[in-house]
Amino acid sequence: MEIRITQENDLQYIEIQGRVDAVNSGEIQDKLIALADAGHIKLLVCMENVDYISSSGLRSFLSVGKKLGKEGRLRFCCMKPSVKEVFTITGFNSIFQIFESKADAMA
Amino acid sequence: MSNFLTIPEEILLLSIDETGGISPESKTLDVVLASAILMDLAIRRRIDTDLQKLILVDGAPTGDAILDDALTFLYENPAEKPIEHWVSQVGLRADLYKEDLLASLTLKKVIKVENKRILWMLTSRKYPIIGNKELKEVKTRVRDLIYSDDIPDLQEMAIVSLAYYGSMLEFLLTTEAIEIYRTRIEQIAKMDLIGQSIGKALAELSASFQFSNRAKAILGIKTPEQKLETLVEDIKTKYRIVKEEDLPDWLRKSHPQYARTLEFIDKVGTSDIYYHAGRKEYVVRDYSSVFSI
Repeated sequence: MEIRITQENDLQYIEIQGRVDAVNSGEIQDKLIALADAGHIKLLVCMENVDYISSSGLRSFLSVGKKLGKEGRLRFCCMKPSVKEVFTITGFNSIFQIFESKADAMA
Repeated sequence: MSNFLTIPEEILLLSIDETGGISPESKTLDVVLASAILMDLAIRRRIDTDLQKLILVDGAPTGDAILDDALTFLYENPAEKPIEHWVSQVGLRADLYKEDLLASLTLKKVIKVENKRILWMLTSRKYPIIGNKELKEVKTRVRDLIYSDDIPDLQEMAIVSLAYYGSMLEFLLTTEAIEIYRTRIEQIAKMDLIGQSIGKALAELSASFQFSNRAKAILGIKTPEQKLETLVEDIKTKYRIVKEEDLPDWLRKSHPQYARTLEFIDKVGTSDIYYHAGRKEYVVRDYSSVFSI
């Protein structure tokens, strides 16, 4: 699993590659919470190269969303259908905004 | 996790009424407690789940005796199976977990134990809550979450999910509040895949198993052998056990412990019992009759 973080305008753009499960979701959570601690409260996570997400991965994003608070923003884009299905079945799509493309998310 | 009580302790505390009695009906509570244990282990990153299965992640002890016992059990049976299967398997041990959870709540001075004598041998046992502080605290946390649009904390999310799928919402909210906030409750409840599997397990359980009718049938049976066979069939149905080897030792005909179970049923006259493996004791449900064999 790889994470690449770049600054784009006023938000942090996070590209994840690989699986998001119990093995690595802690690392993802730590990196995103470190961003929040540093004052970066607008995060966009690109899921284009994520093939699999488990409950542990969902919980990590939930913890990040909680940390960002109402002033913050955690958005997702470019999800594969299998990952989007998990977000839909668990209702995470009603908690977080999910966009088809990076451009849509940044608009 | 920083909460004073674990998830199974909190859900068990919610199930204790003002007289110190425990509801809902014990079989449903078994499944809810098993699910609570799995949720707690998931939050502590010892297990994980996806749409198809439960995954073992880390066998390191959590420091909580009940969670660690369940974790050891999962690691001793490392099969890749759906979450419902593990809810059932852990549920099969819920009687002893319930005893241990009540002991833990007593030790933490959240509840106390009151034994009331009915006959010379049988007594009823109640668990009145001391002071209400912890109960009030968990209810407040969960209500604050439901009444807001906040992103949930993991432990509150688990409690809402357990209460929703275990039909225990009335322990948290008034009927009116349940109706008003139903959409929000459902949104939170389904956020964890373990929670959703609990729903499936409980739905199948309630559809396939009529416990009260079964109890009446047991009363009409004469011999201890028949009573034990009925108990084994009930357990198989409840936990969807197909293979004899998946039964616990005390219910497995091929195991020496089975004869002791038979002996105990013969002694107490009922098969409404369970075996506490940790203490090597048979216990009659809802009474304090305990026999070490």
